[in-house]
Amino acid sequence: MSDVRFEAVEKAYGDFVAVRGIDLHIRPGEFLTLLGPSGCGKTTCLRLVAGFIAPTSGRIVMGGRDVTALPPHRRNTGMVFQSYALFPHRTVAENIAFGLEVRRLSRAECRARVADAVKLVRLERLVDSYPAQLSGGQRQRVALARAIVIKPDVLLLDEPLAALDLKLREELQVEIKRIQSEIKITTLFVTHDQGEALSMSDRVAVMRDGAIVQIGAPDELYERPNSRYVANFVGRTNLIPVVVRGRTDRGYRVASRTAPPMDFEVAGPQTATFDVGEACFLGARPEHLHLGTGRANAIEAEVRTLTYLGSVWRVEVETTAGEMFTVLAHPGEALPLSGAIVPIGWRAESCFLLKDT
Amino acid sequence: MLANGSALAGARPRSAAPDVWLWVLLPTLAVLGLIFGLPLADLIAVSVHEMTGPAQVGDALTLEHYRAFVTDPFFLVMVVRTFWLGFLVVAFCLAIGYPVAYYLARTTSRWRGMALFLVISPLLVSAIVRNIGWFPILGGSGVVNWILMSIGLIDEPLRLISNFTGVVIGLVHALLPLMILTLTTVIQRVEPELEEAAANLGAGPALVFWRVLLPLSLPGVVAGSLLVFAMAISAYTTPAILGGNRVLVMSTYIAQQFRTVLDYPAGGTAAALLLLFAALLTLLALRVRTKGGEAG
Amino acid sequence: MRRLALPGIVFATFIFLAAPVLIVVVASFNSGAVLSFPPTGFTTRWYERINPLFLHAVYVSLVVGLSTAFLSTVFGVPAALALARGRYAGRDLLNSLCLSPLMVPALVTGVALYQFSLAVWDVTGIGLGGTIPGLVLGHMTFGIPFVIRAVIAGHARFDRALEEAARNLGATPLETFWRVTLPVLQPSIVSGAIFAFLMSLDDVPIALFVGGGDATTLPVRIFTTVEFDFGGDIMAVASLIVGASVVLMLLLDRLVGLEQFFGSRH
Repeated sequence: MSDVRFEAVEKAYGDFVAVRGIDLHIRPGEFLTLLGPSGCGKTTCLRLVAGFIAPTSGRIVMGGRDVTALPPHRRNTGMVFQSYALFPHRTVAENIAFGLEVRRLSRAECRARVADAVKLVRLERLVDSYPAQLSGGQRQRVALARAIVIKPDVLLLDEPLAALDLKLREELQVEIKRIQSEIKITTLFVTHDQGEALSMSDRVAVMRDGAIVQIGAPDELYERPNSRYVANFVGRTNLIPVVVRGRTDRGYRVASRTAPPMDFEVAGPQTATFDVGEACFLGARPEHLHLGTGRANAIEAEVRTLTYLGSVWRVEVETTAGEMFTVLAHPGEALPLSGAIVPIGWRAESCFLLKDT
Repeated sequence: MLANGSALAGARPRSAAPDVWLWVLLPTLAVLGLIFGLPLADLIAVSVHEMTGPAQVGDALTLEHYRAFVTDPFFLVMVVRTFWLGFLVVAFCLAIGYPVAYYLARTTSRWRGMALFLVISPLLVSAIVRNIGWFPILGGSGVVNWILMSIGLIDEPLRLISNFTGVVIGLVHALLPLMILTLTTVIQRVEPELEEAAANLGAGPALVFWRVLLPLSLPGVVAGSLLVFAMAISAYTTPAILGGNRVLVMSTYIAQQFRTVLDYPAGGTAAALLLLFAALLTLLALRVRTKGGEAG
Repeated sequence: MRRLALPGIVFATFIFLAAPVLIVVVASFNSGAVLSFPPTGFTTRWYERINPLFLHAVYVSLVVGLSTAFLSTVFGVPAALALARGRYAGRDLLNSLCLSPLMVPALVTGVALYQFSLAVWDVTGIGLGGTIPGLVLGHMTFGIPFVIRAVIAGHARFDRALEEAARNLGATPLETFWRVTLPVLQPSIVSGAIFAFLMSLDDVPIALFVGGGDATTLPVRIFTTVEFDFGGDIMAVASLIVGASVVLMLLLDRLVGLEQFFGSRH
C-alpha cells in the first residue's frame, strides 16, 4: 500500500493546458475519485500516474519515490482502461497472467496468483474463454483481475463502468468497492458520473478546466459545495440570489435580492466566511425542500409540472421571483395540483451559502 | 520500435523528436523504387526514344510514337475498341451484378453464406484455368453450340470464342465477383427501412429502385464501375487467350510489340498510355468512393 | 413470379460463375476430343500424359509464390507500421507511393521489368530475366503493396490502449511489440501474405515477361502452351489446379473466412 502525491503537476499540449498545477495527496489505501466533465483533465491526471504521459512541470511521487521520469512498465500501477484493452489473442487466464509473465514469475506462482485473482472477480468458469466471447461485465472483471493480480502500488480506474448498462453498472460499483476494500489498495478512480463518485469514494476531487475545484468526503461535497459549479455538478441545487443581512450564533441571516426581499436563515458550518452586505447565493437540495410551512425558511411558488419517479414525485415550481425550483415530494405528502400556489419550506441547517463567482 | 509510440512520448516533445518511423519505411521504399519505380521510369524513357531496329532503342529523343497514337487511325480504332470492351464488360457486370448484390445484401436466407461463397470462390481458382474452361463451353463443338443445335435454334455453330465476344464473356466472368462484392457492401449501407418507407408512401418496386435504391447506391455503383472498367482495359491474359490472337486491344498490342515485333518504343508508348488511363480511372474511383463515404 | 425472378437471376449467375471451372474437370476425363461436348467416354489418359514441364512449372510457381509472400511480408509489415504510426510530413504521399503498383496494369509492370532487366544486363552484366530471383522481385512489386494494405487496414482497428495496458502491466516496449502488437496484427499480416502468395500463383503478365526457360511458372506454361496447342493434358493440369484451389478455399474459409478475406480488398 503506498500513497500518491501530485506536486505542482502541470501538463500542457502546446498552448492548451490540460492540467494546471495540481497538488493532491492520495492516502495509502484510499479510494479517491476525480470527478468532472469530459475535457477537465481528469484522465490526463490518471495517465500521468500511469506514466503514459510526462508532466510539463512538477513531480509525481509514489510511496515516497519520485516516479516522474520512470517509464510505464517500471511504475507498478494497475490500470483498468475504459475500453478494457483486453488482449484479443489471449484467453482470460492468459490476459490475467500477462503482467506476471513479463515479471518473470515462475509458472507455478503465475498459476496460483491467476487462480486467486479469478476467484476474487468470480470468473472461475471463464478462464479459457477469449475476450470476444465475454459480455461487457465479464470483460470488465477480467480487466480488473489483470490489473490487481500484479499487486500494484496503486489501482487506476479510467471510467471503467462507462460502457455498461445501468443495472450492470450498479452491480459492478458494489463489486469494485468490495474488492478494493478487501485488498485495501490505494485507488484513483476517474468518472464523470457523480452517482458513481459519491457512492464509491472515500474522497472526491471535483475538477474543472484542469484544476481541482473542491476536494472532500462525498457527504461534505454534497452538503456543503463550495461553488455553484460543484453544487450543480454534484446533484441538483435550487439557487436563490441573496445578500447577507447579519450573523447569528448558528450562521447567517440573509435576504433575497428581490423586491420585496424575503428573509432566510442559514445554519451550520459553511465553506467560506461571508461579510454583512455581501451578495451571494443560497442553495438548497430538492430533497431538502418540503411542500408546506412550519420550517425556518419559506417561500411561495406556483406548481408547474409533476413527474412521477417511482419512489418520489418531482415537483417543478416557479417562485414569485420567476425562478424554477425543483422539490422532491415523498410518498405520504399531499400532492398539489398543477397551477396551485403552494408554500415551500426548508430547515436552516439544510441549506448553504455560495460565493457569487 | 515502440519507443516513439508510448515510452518516450512524454519524456520529450513529440514534434521535436526525429521520427524513427521514416527510417523504418526507408528499406521498403528503396526496394519498391528499385523493382518498380526505376523500371517504370525506364519504360517511359524508352517510349520517347527512336526505334533503330528490332529490339534496338536509339539515343535520339522523339515524341513520334505519341503523335502517331493521336493521329494514326490504326491506334485510334484500337483505343476505341479497348474502351468499348471496357464499357461492355462494365455494362454486363452491372446488369448481372446489381440484382445478385441486392439479393446478397438483403436476404436473410440460411443460404446467404453459401451464395456468398459461390460468388467469391471463382476468385480463388487461377485466372488462366477459368479462361481455358471457356473453350469446351464456347467452342465450335462446345456446350453452348451443342445445346443451341440440339433444340434446333441454329444449324451452324456460332463463333463465340477466339474473337471479341469471347473476350467480353471471359472478362465479365473474371470481374463479376468483384462488382458483386462492391455493390453488396454499398447496398447493405442503404437501410431497408428506406425502401419500406418508399413502398409505404406508395412507390412500386420500380419506383423504389429508381428513386431510392439507385440514387443512394450511386457512388458505389460509379466507383465499382470505374474499377471494373480500369481492370477490363488493363487485362492481358483473358484478351490474349479468349481473343485467340485476333483481338487487338491496347494490352495485346503492347505484348505483341515486346514479344514478337520487338518495337520497344512503340510498345512503351502504348504501355505508358494504358498506365495513364488505368491510374486515372482508379484514382477517380477512389475519389468517388471517399466522397460517397463522407455523404453516407 | 416476381418472388422467383430474383433467386432465378442469382441462380443463373452462379451457374455462369461456376461453369468454366466445372467443365474443366468434366473435359479432363473426356475420352473424345477434350473441347467437344457431350463427352464420349471416361478416360484418365490425359492425366497420364501430362508433360513433365508442367511439374517443373509447379515447382517454380511454389518457390516463387512462397518467396514472394515471405519477402513481401518482411518488407511490407515494417512499412505498413511506419505508414500507420509515423507522424511526419508527406506521409500520405509516401502511402500512395507504396500502394501505387496496385494501380498499374500488371502487363505494364511486366514489360517495364523486361525492358529494365535488359538495360541492367547491358550496364552491369547481371541478368535477372529468366531467373527465379527475377520472378520473385517482379512479384514483390504487387506483393509488398498487398501486405502493406492489409496491415494498414488491420491497424486501423487496432486499439492503442492494448499497448498501454501491456506497458502498464510491466512489459518493456520491445516485449509489448512482440507479445501484443504483432500477435494482434497477425491475422492481417497472414491474410496479406496469403494474398501475395495467391496473386503470385495467379500472375501471367509479369511472369511471362520476366521469366522464361527454367523460370517458367505454371500459369505461364499453360498460357504459352495454349497459344499453339490445346492438348488434353492441359485440361488435366487445369483440373488438378481446380482440385488444389478447392482444398485451398476450404482451408482459407476455415482459417480466415472468405468474406473477410476478399471483403477488405477492393
